[in-house]
Amino acid sequence: MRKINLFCYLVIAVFLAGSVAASLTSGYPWSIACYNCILCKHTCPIGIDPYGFVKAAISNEPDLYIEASSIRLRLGEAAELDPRLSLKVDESEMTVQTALAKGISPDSEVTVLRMRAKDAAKFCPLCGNCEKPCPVALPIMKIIEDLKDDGKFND
Amino acid sequence: MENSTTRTAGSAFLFILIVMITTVVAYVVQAERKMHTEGLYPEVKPLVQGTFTFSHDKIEIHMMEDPVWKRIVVYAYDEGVSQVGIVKPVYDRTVIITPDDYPDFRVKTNGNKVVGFDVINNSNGALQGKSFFGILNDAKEGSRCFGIQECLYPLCTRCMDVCPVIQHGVIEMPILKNGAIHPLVHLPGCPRCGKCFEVCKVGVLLNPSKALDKGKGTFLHDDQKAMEPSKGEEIPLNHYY
Repeated sequence: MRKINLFCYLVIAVFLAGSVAASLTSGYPWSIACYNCILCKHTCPIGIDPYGFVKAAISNEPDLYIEASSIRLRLGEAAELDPRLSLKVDESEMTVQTALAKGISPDSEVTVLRMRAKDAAKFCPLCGNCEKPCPVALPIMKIIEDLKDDGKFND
Repeated sequence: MENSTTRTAGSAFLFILIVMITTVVAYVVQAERKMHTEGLYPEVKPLVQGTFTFSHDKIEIHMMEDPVWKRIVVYAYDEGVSQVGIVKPVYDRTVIITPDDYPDFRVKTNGNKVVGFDVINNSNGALQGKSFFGILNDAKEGSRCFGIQECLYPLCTRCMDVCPVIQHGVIEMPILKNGAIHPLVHLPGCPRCGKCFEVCKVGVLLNPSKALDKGKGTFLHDDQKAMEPSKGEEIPLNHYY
């Protein structure tokens, strides 16, 4: 039993150490203070889940797919951005590649469901609504502004 | 004994020194840089204009110019006197609303003032309710206000958050006669800190030197003319055919 406990503690310690190391590498070590209260989730006027940006900073992964449920754009523009972007087309979910394969016109407007954090940052109007309800006052816009520049953390 | 005491004191001192250096470095790296701005009055861009064309399967909005953010807020007032809005992309100065478009937010109003807002989108699991296409048609049938605007207030309040004299009401967000929410700057009280137009990302509050450089012409900045376009022209109401 003691060995199992020790093993579990080691796994948790390695996981936490990995998160801290990754967040230090991304340049946003304060992002690990986020405890996913999701108060920021229902504040974005264009439907982006701000917690997705925080997760991307914690894991130093700008290509992490996050929710972005009200971003509307043309299918052609979405294809240029990311062929694996998840869309809602006529009440069904599909990727850009699938939509184009089905013959949907590149000029038709589609609604995004999930996209990469670095792509979502490009659409963010930097209104600051996501920062207001945060109980630990995380400066989420710093992450978004960083990704908006070049799609990378701390470059 | 003395050697070990000296060594312990030396180690403790070194440890404290390392902690202090790390703290200073962390503070410098993470500290917010002071915003350097020009000491100019902000220019308020005139309310964006567009013409609505209603058909049975879509509503087309043709704009006079492309917005800075490449997106626009289309709004319509519902029976509860709330402004319901949707953020739509602009392609070739045209916006198309279809029956699949659902509203993104609702702004609660009281007279010509904003009193609150709710965000409505798929991420909060809220019921979608009526499509924006239906709300816009209802507004037209019911002779209620509808139109387009670039300002994201009250979802975005960055200009008011950074204004050092906001308590004196230097920047206001009244609801205009056509239902749009557009900033009004009272120049006599403006300290010309330049922060408001630096933080405005949708291009409604502009740096006057940059606005003029881009040939955008005369803007509304005089307090008396804040609600009227320059040269005595009337703001055309959003019209349709």
